[in-house]
Order: sequence, then C-alpha cells, then structure tokens
Amino acid sequence: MLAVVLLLAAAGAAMGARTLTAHGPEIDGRPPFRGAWDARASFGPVRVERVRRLGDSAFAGGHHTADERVDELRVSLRIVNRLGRRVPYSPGQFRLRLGSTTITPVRPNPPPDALAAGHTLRQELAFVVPARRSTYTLVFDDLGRPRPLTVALGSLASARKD
Amino acid sequence: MLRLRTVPPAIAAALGASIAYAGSLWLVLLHRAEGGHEHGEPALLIHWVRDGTLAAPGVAAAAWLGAALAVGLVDRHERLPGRWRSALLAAGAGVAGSIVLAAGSPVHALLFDAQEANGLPASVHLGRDALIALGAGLPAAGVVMALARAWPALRARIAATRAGAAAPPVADAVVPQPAVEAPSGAVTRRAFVRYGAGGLATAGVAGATLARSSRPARALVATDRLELFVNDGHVAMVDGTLVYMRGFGEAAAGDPQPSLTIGPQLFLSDGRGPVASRFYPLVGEDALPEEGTPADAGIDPSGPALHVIRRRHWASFFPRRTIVAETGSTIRLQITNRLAGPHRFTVEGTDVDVALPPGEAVMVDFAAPGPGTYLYHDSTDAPVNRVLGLHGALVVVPADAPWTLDGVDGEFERQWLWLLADIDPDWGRLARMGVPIDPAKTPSVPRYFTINDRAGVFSVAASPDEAENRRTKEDTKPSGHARTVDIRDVRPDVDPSLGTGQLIRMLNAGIAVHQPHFHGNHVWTIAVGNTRLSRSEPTVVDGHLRLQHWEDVVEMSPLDVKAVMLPLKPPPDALPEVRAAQACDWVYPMHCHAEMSQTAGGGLYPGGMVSDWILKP
Repeated sequence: MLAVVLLLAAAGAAMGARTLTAHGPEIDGRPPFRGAWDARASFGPVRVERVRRLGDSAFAGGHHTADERVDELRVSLRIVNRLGRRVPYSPGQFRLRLGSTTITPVRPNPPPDALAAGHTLRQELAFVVPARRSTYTLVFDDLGRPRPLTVALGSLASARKD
Repeated sequence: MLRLRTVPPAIAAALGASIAYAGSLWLVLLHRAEGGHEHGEPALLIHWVRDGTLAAPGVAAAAWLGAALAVGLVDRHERLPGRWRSALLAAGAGVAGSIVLAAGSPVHALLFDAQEANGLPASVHLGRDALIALGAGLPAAGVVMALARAWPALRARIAATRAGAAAPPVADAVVPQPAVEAPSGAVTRRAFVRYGAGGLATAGVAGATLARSSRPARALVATDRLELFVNDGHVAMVDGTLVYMRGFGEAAAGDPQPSLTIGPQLFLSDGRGPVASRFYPLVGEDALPEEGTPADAGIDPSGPALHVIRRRHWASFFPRRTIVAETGSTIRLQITNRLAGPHRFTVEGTDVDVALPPGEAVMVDFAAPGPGTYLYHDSTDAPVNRVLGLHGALVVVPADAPWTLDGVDGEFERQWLWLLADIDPDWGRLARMGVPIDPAKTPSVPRYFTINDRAGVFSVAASPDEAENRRTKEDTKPSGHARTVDIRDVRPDVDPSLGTGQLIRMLNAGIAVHQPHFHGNHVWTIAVGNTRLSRSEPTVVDGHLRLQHWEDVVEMSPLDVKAVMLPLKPPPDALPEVRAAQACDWVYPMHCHAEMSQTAGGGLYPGGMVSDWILKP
C-alpha cells in the first residue's frame, strides 16, 4: 500500500513539475499537457491546433501603446458544431486573457454569422499582445453556457530579438 | 476497522494543515501557470493562505479518517514497527486529504468566480489535481509524522535539561495509541464514502446550464398596420462579440439571425401607412441627397467656399427603429410578444402604454401626438428591457411644414435622428439565462455604446462594409455645403435668402448620461423634451436655464429628447485664406464626452459613440 501511495505521489509531483516546465520559452506553442487545448463548447468541440507568436514591426502599437513593444499572437482553431441546428458564431466570441483584462482579436474574419449543423470551421485568430507578457489564456464566450470557456495556451516568450 | 482514536486529534490537525497548505500552494502555482484566474484575484501569498485556510478543516477531517482507515486496514493489531506505522498514517492522510483538496475545486470556483484554463473534463481535472496535491501533500505529511516521532524524545531532552539530568535514550518512539475501542457510533468507511460522494454531487449541480425559453407566436394576418415582434437573439458588437439582446423586430425570427429592429416606416396624414421608406418626405429621386449630402444650388460669391442651398427640397434618411408619422395620422401597430415573459409598448411623453402578454398579439392604434421626437420602448422592469434593446424612435412631423421642427421654428435643409444606446453584455447574459435583473443589485456596466445601432468604424462610415458605410453617411453623418447662415433666426417667415442648418433630433435610450460634443461649430439647441424653447423669455426647469442657445456639448440624460440645429458654415476660427485654399472636405469629429462611451469591450478605442460631421468646400 505504501509503495502504491509513494508511486502516486511521485507521479503527481512529476506531473506538476512537467506542467510548470512545459511553459517554456517556445515560439511555437505546445499544450501544457495532453488534452489541455481541447474545450467542450455547448455545441461541440473547440480545439486549439497551433499557437504562434510573431515579432512584427507592423504591430508598432496603437493609441495607448505607442511606447510599448508588442507582438502578434496567432491562434489556429478547429470548431465543430455537432448540434442538429445552426448556432450563432462570431470570431469575436474569442478573447485573450492577460491577467485580469481581456483583449479582442484583430482583423476578425469571417464576419459574425452562424455555424451550420455538422459544420467544421477552421478559425485563425490574431491578437496584439504586449511583448513583456508571456502567459496567455484563450476565452470563448459560449452562448450556451452561463460562463465563458477558458483554454490555457501556455507561455510563449517574446519573439522579438531587440 | 475504522478507529478514529488510533490517530490523536493533534496529529490529525497537523497532518491536515500541512497537506492543506502544501497542496494549496502547489495547486495555486500550477493553475496560475496554466492561465487559470478568478475575479479580483489576490496576490499569490494571500491567494495561497486563503485557499489553504479555507481547505484546512475539511482536509484535516479527511486526513484523520484516512489515517485511521489506513492503520485500521493494514495494522489493526499494531504489529508494524513505529516507523512504518507512522508512514502508514502519513500515506492514509495524504491520499484522503489530497482527494478532498481537489474535490473542493468546484466550491472554490463558486466562491471566488474562479475559471480554470486547462480545458479538462471535470472528472479528469479532479483526478489530476488530487495526484498533484498528493505530490506535495505526502511529503508534507511525512515531515509531520517524522516530527511527531521525534517530539517525545525532544520533549524528554528538554525536560531533562531543565532538570539538570541527562535524558534517557528513547528508542523507536511511537505515536500514542488509544486505550479504548471506537464507540459503536464511530464513522465507518461506508459512511465516509457515502458522505464524500454526496458532497461531490452537490458541488457538480452548480454547473448546470439554465436554458433560455421562448414560445412561438400565433399566426395573425395584418395588412394595414405595422407588425412588430418582441424577439430576442444575439447581436454582433463592433468587436465581433455576440451579445444577447431583445428588440421590436419586423419578423418572427430568433437566433442565429434574429429580427430585433424594424426598417423605417411612415404613417401619413392622408391615411397611407405603414409605408416602408428610408426617407421622408416621399419625394422624387432628384431630392434624395447623394450619400446623405444635399447638393448645393450654386456658388455664393460673398465669400470663399460658400454656397447657396435649396430650401424645402431635400428628403431626409432615417435609421432603423424609426417610425415617422405626420400630424393628423393614426399609427396602427400589431405587436406580438414571442418571448416567455410579459412586456409593454410605451411611448414616452404620451399616454400610450400597452401590456403585451407572452405569446399574444395586441393591436395598438393611436393618433400621432404633437410634432416632436418620442422614444418608444418596453417600460417593464425599467430600464432593463429598454437597455436590452426594446426601444425605437417615433418622429412626428408637421404635415403641412415637413421641413420644420414644429411648423413654427427650426426650418432645416434636412434632418437627422441620433438614437443613443448603451449595451451591457452582463445584463444580456443574465436575461438569456432567465435570471431577473435588479438594477440596484446588479448595476449596469455598459461595454458598448452606439449611435443608431452603430459604433466605432461603423458610426464614422469607415468599416470594411461599403454598403453599411453608405447607409451611415445617409442616415447618421451630417454633411452639407458651407453656406451663410444665421442659425439663430431660421423661421420660415424670415429672410429666405439665408441658408439654414441641419436639424439633429437626439434621444437617449441608454442608461448613461451622454454628452455629444461637436468639434468645429457649436449647435443651436431649439427644443428639450419636445418643448420648443423661447428665444427671448428664459425659464428655469430643474435648475437648468431653458432658452434657445449655442452649446458644443449637449447633455443627454437617460430618456432625454432634444433637438439641435447644426449650422453648416465655416467655423468661426477658419481664416478666409484657409477657406480659399481648402480643396477637400472639412471633417469634424463628434464624440460623446462620457469617456467610457468612446470605447468598446472595455477599452477598444475609438470603438464607441463617435461620428463626424462634414462641411463640403
């Protein structure tokens, strides 16, 4: 019995350590652990397939970020409507959480519309993120649930070389 | 098998505390690393101490039971050496305490509005957290038991030191054992399992989704009246966010393409109506202002960049949600409430206030009130349903003087309607779930602010949608050619050679106080609350001086209605040389001075209540 408990504790400690170390400074994101990038929305699965962080001079900052370096975070998603009816859908339902604030995607496309029954949508999202931040959470405002879904994207250090 | 007294309460408490605080620290660290968060999240140290302290009683109880169960199962006859028996106690306490710590996650989410960010199913999440907590809790429990084993020797050594004598060696100290059997009423393993499962089930219920309900309306035929439907559905905001709203729509339609507004409709004094038309009066195409801008009638040689304008000629475009009625007409409506709850149709400033029972169609006929601008809305649970979107505008024009405010004053080249509104996604979410909204307990915090249902790039006609941009220019962005105008005297019977301005009717259907602020020129305020102000005899109402006057910021409290004249003349600080050299449009911003209303979604600037007015050179 003691051996089993010790084994379980070791596994738990290893899992925790791996969760922390998995948030390494990778430019291409990897899920913190298996299954972490899957979310179950009220109409079907929302799966994060890829996360990339780009240092792009085109994102030089906006009205309040003129003095702040920014990167672009690109998130690739696969969304499936497994219901037998159309559901409202807009890429604007996704936001990126940075600490206590959330930000909206830029150039959201397609325009707000609906997901047809049984339809699979591949969604590309782009967020302008402060270069000083590295840990992100994707928030999906699931209209069929009382609270938004959240998906940890892990940590991606700045892609900037300067 | 389960004798609680095999584990002294002090040991159980120490085991519970150590597992609770060690496991909580580890879990808080990992959940932060994953991106989990909670509303108003405290600093790491406070977060850890708070979670550990709250979990400690439950974890201590579980640790006590777990430890007692472990020794009861494996070492009932106390044959194991003290060291192994201590390890057994630590293991039992560690496993049970870790499970309870992990199982507290749903309660933690409820208490602190915490959101996990790992996307795992609840059962897998619980198991993973239990394992992770065990990774920290077992070593902590081991340390406690090691200290407990060493404590008698340490205490004896201290006593001996105090007595001045050497302490006797203590070999293989053991945890104090109970001298009596557990009473018949002691907790059994079966009871422990049953109560534990019950606790988990109770926590799981909190995640149940409340379904939104609506019922189909009865099919009714109407030909000579305007059909309205009380609908609901989700509407895309300027940043793409979908927000639940309600509205008086023109079709029986809900998600994913709900009908929440009506196209402009006319009721005329000759009995015609409803007539679907975006413009009024019903003139020929040559009197429709191209992209909303009335063409000039020639150059005014009296100054640079001045024009002569055509009076009493141009039609005006109106935005969605507008009903235009001529004086002397009768407004005939059939309103069907397709929602599950009761609603009302109220025309502010009149005695029209009709109940709309759920699932029923109600005929509403009323004579057009006096010339002016009226807000129609649902006054149920005011301002909740109005803010959720059940509102629109009724514009009453003098049938025999359609280019004036009221047939006496305020002649305009063309007119505009600005319907201001605020949108609160949280109220929308509550309404969608069927949760009653008490504004006193859940104050509205709007995140979107609109003029004529548009905001940001849409209300300044700079969106990627060119067709929508054109509509915005036609019905929202004032524009015209620069002319000589004495806006303070635009009565029809005064010098007709003078130009006039453009009338802007403003209504605030929102919940915030708005202050449309005009750059370039001031506006001339003519009417407040459909009462034409005097030009010479001021009155005081609620501490405010009432007199026609210039202002560049027009205060609009909720439900306020005002009419102002925008003079399309070169701004007073524009030098003649500059005016002569100006070859392109003069574009002046109009934005609300309530700072939050310039944003969308809590910070997207300038995504809110902004627009322009344009002076053609």
